[in-house]
Amino acid sequence: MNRPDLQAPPESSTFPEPPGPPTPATPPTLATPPTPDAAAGADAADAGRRSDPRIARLEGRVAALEAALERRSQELRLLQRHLCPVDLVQLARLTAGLPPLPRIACEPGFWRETRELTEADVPETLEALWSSLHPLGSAGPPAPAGTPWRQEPPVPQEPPVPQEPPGTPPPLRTAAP
Amino acid sequence: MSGPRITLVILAWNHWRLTERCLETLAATDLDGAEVVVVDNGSTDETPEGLARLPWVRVVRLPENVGFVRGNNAGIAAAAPGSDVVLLNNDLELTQRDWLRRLAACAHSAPDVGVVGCRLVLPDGRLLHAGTYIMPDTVWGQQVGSLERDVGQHGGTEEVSGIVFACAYIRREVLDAIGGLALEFASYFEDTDFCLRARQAGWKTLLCGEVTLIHDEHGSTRGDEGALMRLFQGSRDIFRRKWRRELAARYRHHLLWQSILNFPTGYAMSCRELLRALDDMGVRTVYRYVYGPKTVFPPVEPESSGDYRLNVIRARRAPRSPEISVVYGQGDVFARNRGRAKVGFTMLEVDGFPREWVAQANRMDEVWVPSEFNRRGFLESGLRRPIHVVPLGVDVRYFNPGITAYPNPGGEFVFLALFEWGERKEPSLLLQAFNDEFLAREPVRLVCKVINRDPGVRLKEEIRRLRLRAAGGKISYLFNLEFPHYQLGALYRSADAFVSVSRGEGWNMPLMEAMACGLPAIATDWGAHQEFVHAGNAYPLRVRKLVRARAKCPYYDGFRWADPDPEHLRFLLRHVYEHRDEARARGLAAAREMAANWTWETAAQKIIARLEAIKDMAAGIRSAKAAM
Repeated sequence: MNRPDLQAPPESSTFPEPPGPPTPATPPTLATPPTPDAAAGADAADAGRRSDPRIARLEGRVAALEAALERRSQELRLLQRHLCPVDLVQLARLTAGLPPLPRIACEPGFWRETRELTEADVPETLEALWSSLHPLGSAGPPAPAGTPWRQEPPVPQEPPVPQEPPGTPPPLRTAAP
Repeated sequence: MSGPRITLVILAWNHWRLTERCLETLAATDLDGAEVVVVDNGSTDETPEGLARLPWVRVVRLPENVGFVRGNNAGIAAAAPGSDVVLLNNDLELTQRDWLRRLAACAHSAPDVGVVGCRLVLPDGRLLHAGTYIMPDTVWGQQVGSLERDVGQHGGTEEVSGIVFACAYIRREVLDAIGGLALEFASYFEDTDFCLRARQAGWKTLLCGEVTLIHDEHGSTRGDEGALMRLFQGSRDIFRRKWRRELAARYRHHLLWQSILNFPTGYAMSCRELLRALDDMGVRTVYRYVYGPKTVFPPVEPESSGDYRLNVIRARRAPRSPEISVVYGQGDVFARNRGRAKVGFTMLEVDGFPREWVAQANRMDEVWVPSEFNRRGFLESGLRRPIHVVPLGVDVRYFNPGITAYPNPGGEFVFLALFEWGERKEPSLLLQAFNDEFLAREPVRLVCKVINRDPGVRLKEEIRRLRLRAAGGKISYLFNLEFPHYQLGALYRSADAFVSVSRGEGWNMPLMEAMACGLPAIATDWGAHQEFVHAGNAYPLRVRKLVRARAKCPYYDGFRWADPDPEHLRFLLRHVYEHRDEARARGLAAAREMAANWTWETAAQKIIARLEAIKDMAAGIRSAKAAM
């Protein structure tokens, strides 16, 4: 769906567009705001302009745009309520044309409070950790003999996997060496 | 001094592309004058023509496919007189230039070395082979380290039961003594059979972990799984008849081991290692789960451990009246011991033991603990039975300075800590001290692998309450991630130093593993780990005093643990950061000590010594009764 009226400029960090209702084939475009000089005589010319079909069409478009903005605002509030901070940051980075941060919870603000363990591999986890600390960093260190330093994007982690069967109480936190 | 004379024997049957790739990669390595013999096992594709184009290869052409064993024997027979022989599969890729020199050096490192294999990895990088073992219960050969990700494990030289003959360096003396591959096997089991025959004749089999080759397994037999299975089963039957009794005879001791195996707990992790080490050293253990319904840990244990050997041990039938049984777990399950001679093996993180544990321990024939720290605590708590220190250990094949590292490319100095969030591990002390001591602009970072399974703890809130300064030392968290245990060495090796500031430890496995990997470690100077930590191999953290142990764990009630000194912790963090050469040297000293003194084999030896002493005592009592 292409809605240039609602698209953020490339440097913006607003969110990507959520699905919305169908739009007209020819989307409305924003009119140039009136200049102060033109605005000065606005009252006097008001009645005449209302009768101008071009003005009426523009006013219709403004109303449609305001409705779209209101809808957009609701959507953003909804996202904020239901997405965790890391997802919001990822959305902002993606729409700003930046690469997403690796999906690793290395700062408390970025993790979900959970009691479940997530299975992970050390190489990818460390690669993701270092990348998140140095997102614009260059190549990694020299690879140890026989084991290449992998440069491909980090693999998203699997969803949390419970370690104990359902109903199993937490392990005793006692004499574990 | 020139090296031994060597003949490389490559068996090929069709699949010329595989053979060609093998020979191309072989030619790019240092062969040091070794002769290359290719045995063409009756190929009907372009193999004969392809080989004819390679003047540096001597070809032994067989009129038909005579199988793996006879084909290789034809190559051995064609080898230069007096030369050592290296058997190679044609589906290998040789990517290590000095592979042959290293294998030869390993084979001639001692007079009793007869056969040497190497690490084999699959084309996707997973470890396929680091030696083999075979259990008499099933007579089904297993490859060590099979299909683990390659993080540099098994990178040293180690004695193994057997190797696969995809790559086998065989010294001439062994061939002269026992001949070639046994002709009763068409394919499969001939390699294990050869290693066993060599051992009978006094020759060891070694894995040379410095050499890694790529093995496109079953390249020559791919596409005919049925034929492969028939070959395998036929050879297995022959092998069983020939070796089962011999394999079973290697067990000199029998033991019932009641513990916990298939849960992610410290006892379970160490139980797995102990069972493997005991099996390696000739103790036939039968495992039974000691917890379950009506115990302090009621869950039923999952059946599979994900480890073939442990599954076999778990599936063995338990004797009705075992001579000796060891309960390895908390002291309040000692009463479930089923042996005629009863041993309770436990540990705790405070300076004494609960009354119920002591009461149950006093019904054992003897008690084992891993540390002098716990021995003292048990005696002071009223134990009246004999008590012995039986240490735990570390697997230096997976935890050593040669394990692959994934270091921080930003160049920061990295301190690593692993802990479960709770009172005992004292995380707030570490986070606060680190954050206070360092500045954010300094190139240093603390990485905490932290676990929280306590529903009563909101970790984000706990950390927020510490009010760590944004301008202070930088901290990153790996939160509730569970890594395969075999990969943890790579985590340690990717850091520069390790910190453990807990108030009390029953052993402290992560600390020992980190030290085995060569990390300089800061550790509280109180607890069981004092057994292996001292100022020559680590940085002991001063304790201000002992304080009452306050935690959710009821076992700690009435006992004390350490109060580590925050100022000294800051001093040590700064010291390690600023004296890196000294710290590195201390870490390497730790790695040497762990490898020399603290392996699971050492722990198993101590157990075996106790089993023998218990048997001697029992025999003495029986003979005294008979004399009365």
